[in-house]
Amino acid sequence: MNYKKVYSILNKDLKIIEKELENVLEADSPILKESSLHYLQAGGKRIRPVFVLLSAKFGDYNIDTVKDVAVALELIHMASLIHDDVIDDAYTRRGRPTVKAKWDNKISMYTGDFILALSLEIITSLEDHNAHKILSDTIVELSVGEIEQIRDKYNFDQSITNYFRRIKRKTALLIAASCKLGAIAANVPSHLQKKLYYFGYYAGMAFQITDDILDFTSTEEKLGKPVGGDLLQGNITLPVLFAMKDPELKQKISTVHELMDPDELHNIIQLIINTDAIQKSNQICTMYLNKAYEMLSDLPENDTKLMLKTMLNFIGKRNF
Amino acid sequence: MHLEESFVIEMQEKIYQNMYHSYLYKYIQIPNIDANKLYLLLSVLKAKNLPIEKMESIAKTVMFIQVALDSHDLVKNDMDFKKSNITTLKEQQLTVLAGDYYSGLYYRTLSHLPEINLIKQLARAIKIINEQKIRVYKVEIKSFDDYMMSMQQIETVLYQKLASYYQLSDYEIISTNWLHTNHILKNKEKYIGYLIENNLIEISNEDPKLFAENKLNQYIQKLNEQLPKYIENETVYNKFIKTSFVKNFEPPIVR
Repeated sequence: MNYKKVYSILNKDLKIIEKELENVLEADSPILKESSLHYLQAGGKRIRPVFVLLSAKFGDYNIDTVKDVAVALELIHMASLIHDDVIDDAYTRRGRPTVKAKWDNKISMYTGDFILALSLEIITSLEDHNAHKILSDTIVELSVGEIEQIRDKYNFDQSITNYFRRIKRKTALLIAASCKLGAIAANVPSHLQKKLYYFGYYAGMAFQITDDILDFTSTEEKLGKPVGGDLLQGNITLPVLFAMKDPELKQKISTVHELMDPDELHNIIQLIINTDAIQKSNQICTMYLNKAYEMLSDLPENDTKLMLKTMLNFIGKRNF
Repeated sequence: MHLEESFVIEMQEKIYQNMYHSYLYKYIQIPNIDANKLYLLLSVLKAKNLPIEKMESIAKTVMFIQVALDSHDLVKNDMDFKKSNITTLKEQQLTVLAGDYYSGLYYRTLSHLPEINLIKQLARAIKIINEQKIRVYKVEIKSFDDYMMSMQQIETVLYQKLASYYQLSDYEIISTNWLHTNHILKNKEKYIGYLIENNLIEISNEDPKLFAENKLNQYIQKLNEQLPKYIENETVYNKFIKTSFVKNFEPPIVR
């Protein structure tokens, strides 16, 4: 099975979610309506809804209940992307103009806040108090992770632990919460909910590490942004941390700054790629994927488990 | 119902402490916690006779939302700040994140209480506020009344929703009229400027500024005429009308 097969099996329910996203992003203000639908129309992998659905399939699966969770999680992600584009001063995302580019920063702030509030309104259909504790803690951690990312920009002396803590907050916790909330919505037994939570957590760590590797190994066309863009913005990711083990290269990498000449940056990126940094990062990614596999061992053997494994393969091998 | 000023100030301090984040405080301007809004909020919660701990948690929550919204109002458009100035850029980035962080605190505080239905009501208020902010900002406004309605919602709907959640309908009216009056008085020039700039008032031969000001005064008078009906006790009414932590506040109507 490959990931496309997973998406095709889930197709009917993903379409329901897509339709629901379109329906809930309703507003009287024409500008708000357009700006909030802007990223939805750009598509995306919908990783969080997929994990919500797959986790829910281990319990009393009912799309009417589960869809609210999937929609809310995707909206939280969408709201955070809109605000991230203001933070990163980004003008394109997935090859399309960002909300800030099409309108401006103010519209981005109001649209992001509107969508986040909408997601909270929707998720309150879930009555389980524990689900809200987990999700709200995740949302706070998400913003703390982003604050730390700003704090750590261009800090070439930061530790690998620092990096792991940051990506945990930035990415892994929301994917973990997606799995857990999907499971809660479908009344999956609590010991399996816990496994699914950690499955999502490890999968999320691997997902972000893959993203950070792709920043060096992919193409501008596939990324929808320049290669090495993270480094240029001062985000010190795993490949950079491994490459900096070489003191001479560390000295060169430490010269990176926001207004650096593109040719100079290109040279540094090549030097990083020529080390074993990518290989080592891939090894760490594989380690997280293996941990995620382990979490699945207690789950019943069925097609859903196979689909979760397929999604892990997709995370590990994706090139976009 | 009677609230000592010292209690409001003490509460204000507690909220600041709960919002504290060392890195954010180092680089950005933290919006003020509006004492008028806090006063009204505590009045609503006191009228419901909530236990003190719960009252404090809910007051904190609503103020987290207010500060989150206020923080995002401080985010500037590209043309309004020099991109080359890294300090300013960092300030801008952290202002975005501060707002997100305070929003998270609102959800977390109510989730841990737990007050799930209140999360929903306040989320609805946040939606309304942001939609109205866009309407005002991008001038999707059609008339004087439309503008006043939008501004009223931006300033008061959070408190209205709270009063409505606790089924205190009188306080819904008080929230609307009192807070909006305060806001107009404090920002009269901005209101007048917006009305004139966007042709939202019919101007005859009169001085446009004077005409707009009169229109605003009439509007304020209307709001305040409704207040006594909802505040039975005269002492409390006077307290509401006269109490203001806003400097140079002069109520236009004295009973």
